Amino acid sequence: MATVTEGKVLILGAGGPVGAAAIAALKDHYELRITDARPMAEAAEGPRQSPRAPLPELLGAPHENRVVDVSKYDQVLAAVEGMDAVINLTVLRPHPVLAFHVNEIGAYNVAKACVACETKRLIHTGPFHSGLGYDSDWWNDFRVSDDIPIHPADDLYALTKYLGNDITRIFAEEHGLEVLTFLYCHFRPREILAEEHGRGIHPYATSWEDTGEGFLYGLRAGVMPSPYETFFMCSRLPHDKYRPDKAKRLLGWEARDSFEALYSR
Amino acid sequence: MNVLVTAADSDLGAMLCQQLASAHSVASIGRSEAASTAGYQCVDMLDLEAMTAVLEHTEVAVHALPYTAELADVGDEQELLDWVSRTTYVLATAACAAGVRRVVLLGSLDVMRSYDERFIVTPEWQPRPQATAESLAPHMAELVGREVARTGKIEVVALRLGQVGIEVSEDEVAAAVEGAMSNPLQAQYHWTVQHVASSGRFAR
Repeated sequence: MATVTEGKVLILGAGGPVGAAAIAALKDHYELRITDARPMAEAAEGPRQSPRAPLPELLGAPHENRVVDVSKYDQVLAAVEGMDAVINLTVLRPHPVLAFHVNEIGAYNVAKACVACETKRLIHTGPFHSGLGYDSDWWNDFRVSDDIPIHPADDLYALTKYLGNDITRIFAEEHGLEVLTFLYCHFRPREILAEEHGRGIHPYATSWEDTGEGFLYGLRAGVMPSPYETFFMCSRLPHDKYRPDKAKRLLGWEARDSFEALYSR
Repeated sequence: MNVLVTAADSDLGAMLCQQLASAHSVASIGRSEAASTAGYQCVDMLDLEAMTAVLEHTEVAVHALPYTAELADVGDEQELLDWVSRTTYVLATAACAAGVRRVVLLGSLDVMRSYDERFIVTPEWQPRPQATAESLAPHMAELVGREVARTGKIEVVALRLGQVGIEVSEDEVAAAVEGAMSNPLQAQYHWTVQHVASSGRFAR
């Protein structure tokens, strides 16, 4: 049974704002092994990724903090050992070498270690690039749904994460490792400031708070229809460009935030 | 035609350089310090600037590396995956910048072997590599080639070769590469896949 309602959960790449949201949502429900390429104490001090992005809370026992370089298999394997579930939030965007090491090789290491340790469930994460500036991306489409193939083009970040997704899928399908891949695009705070009213919103948007809760639903969801399932983890917005129906159907998760004040008069 | 061949320090790369040289101007590169191929250059294929320079005036790049790369060449599985994926990305993006018209990418039919042998497996079937670095590496190269081609900046023809010497001869590989270098695009798609085998389960 891949459902993880209690026990130990490893978070890789927890030093960023998505990690901060995951820690906040999971800390009272699971024993967390919280890891990042830099010490979590350092990550907790900031700076913030953007002015209103959350910083990770530095937790004490029974939780554990650890430095893990996801590109090193021995470190990943040691971190995965004894865990019921793994959440991989690692990402590196602009560096021509490290983007491959973290986004592609890191995904390989995580999937391999999860298979070796018989981890119940892996939540893998990545971007859904809604627009990459060429005619065969999905920017001009509507009613785009979760299982549509990602078209990363030659964008270094998008492409290397895409390679990592496919590696993870292949491990899942060959070994029966249950993988949920959560896709994101634009994050923002739940709180809408008065000066933001009517300014509009990206059509694929998620609040940090909803992002964190999504992991709780992902861990607790029942068995998936196939070993590898992809989810749009975003708010349902009236633009009707991106439909997060699958997350509601299979995870029972629906973003609370609809950000109406941002697109209403 | 001005042609660049990667992995020219491998048996397959050297053979291609030799056969293509009868009709084309061939530049050959690889990671070994020296190789027997005429005009061979040792080039850091992970260096975008170096690759952009070496691709100047090239019309077609034949990327033999994904087929020839082996675990023994690089040390460990992570390095193999990184080496094949990243060299392909650097080559493809440098080729776009240098105005190269087409990349011929040599991969392996091994990515299709997990299908039942009763099936007639063609390029329209989804690749099914195994969850090992050796199997994933040429598949990653294909994904990189396909996605860069999708931008419309360059044409990429992927040749999935059967086992050379068993399922396909060297002459047949050279002929397939020659065709891939010059044949017109299929329905204007910038990405094309062909299977290359004359015997065995993938022969047509």
